Amino acid sequence: MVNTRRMLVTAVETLDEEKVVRLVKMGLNKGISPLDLIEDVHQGMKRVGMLYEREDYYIADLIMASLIFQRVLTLIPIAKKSAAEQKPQVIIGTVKHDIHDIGKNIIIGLLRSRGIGVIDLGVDVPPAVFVDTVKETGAKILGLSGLLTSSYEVMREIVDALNKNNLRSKVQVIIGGLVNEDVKEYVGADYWVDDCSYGLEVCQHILNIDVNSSSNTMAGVV
Amino acid sequence: MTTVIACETIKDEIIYVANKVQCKYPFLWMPSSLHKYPERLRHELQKEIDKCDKEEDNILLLFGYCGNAVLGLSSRYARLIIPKMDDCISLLLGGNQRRKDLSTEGRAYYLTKGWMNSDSGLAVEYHRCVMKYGYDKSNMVFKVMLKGYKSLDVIDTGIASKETMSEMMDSVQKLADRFDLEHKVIEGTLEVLYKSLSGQWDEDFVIIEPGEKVKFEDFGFDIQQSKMQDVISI
Repeated sequence: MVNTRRMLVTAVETLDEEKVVRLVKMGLNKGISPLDLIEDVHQGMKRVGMLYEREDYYIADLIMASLIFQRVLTLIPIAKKSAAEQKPQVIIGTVKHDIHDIGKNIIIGLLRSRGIGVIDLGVDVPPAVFVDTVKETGAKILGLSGLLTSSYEVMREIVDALNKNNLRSKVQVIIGGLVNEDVKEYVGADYWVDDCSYGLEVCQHILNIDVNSSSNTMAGVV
Repeated sequence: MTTVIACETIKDEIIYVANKVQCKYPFLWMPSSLHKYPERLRHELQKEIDKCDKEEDNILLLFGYCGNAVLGLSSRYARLIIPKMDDCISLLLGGNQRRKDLSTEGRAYYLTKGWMNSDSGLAVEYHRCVMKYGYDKSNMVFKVMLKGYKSLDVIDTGIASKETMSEMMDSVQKLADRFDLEHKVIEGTLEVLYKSLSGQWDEDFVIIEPGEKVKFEDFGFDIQQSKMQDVISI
């Protein structure tokens, strides 16, 4: 079992999609917990991220990793079940005028794989849609994604609209993408993340879910 | 004395304008690939500033905001002058507002000659992807990459020869056809570069005095206003 899991991490790292699929199916047949398998894929993806940072991988490789991850999620029964059954706790979308969604889609997969209900609003989402969805669902977390500098303005508009609708204190706002502390201050958000693993950890923290509650820890999270 | 630290992505345009205005500033070029890593770009820019700022009155940074890459930069001895633009796309389109206006006609993936020829250029990346993953998977990857875009737009600043433009458009058309996108030429402008290299640092530029740091609000983001909004929350 240990061997299968190690091989799975390496198969993701080397972006060998067919091998990943084969190992996940083999792991499920052997009785390895779906959460453990997802965690191995997650670890492999973190290595892909490191290889990108080292300039060994390119943007296309990051996208390939996200496609492999999405495919794995379709093989894991727990992921399919939990996403459908859970009450939405997190709302995520890429803000108006921006369509970058690779990181957004990865974190949605990570959250759903942990049984956290997510509403994905898609890309180029107008501020009113975010606000209305917070109002309708009572979700505790609002994730605003954006890679363009112009998205900061829209993120702030959304936070302002939450204020005006007396919703700001009811939801924690996380911004993700090319963001930092200054952008967080400007937007009026609660957290900023530029790493999907860290984003998952922040969501788990807000929702009072023990980060180490699955059988694997999140060691090495940035 | 003024030194220029500039991005290789717009090297052709900068050299063209420098020749036109007979600019004598020395140039330091930063690799295009650093754009993928804004933190690293910031670190490298600061290193270059620290190396040369003792002898200079001004350091002209021919970059835009570039994903927070210029945030926090400072010089002990020289003024830092930076175009007040989101990035080099806005710079070559004539400003953030024109870019915004153009986006109402449909979302475009902008291409410049420098970017296309760089290691991260779209066609270069596609070919690399095909070599590694084959056509089918590469097409899946690029469909994700180009999802949401309506067209591939080449910014023409007028400096490329007819032959070069024609070659570029052939390459762009192939990609556009493959991914069901439109493609066209968009007129660019070198106005900001002309102003940069002839010392006309007007409201299109951020000027940072020695000892001060580039701040978020220097690029038009007002943090104080944002904080005031929090008062309303219950």
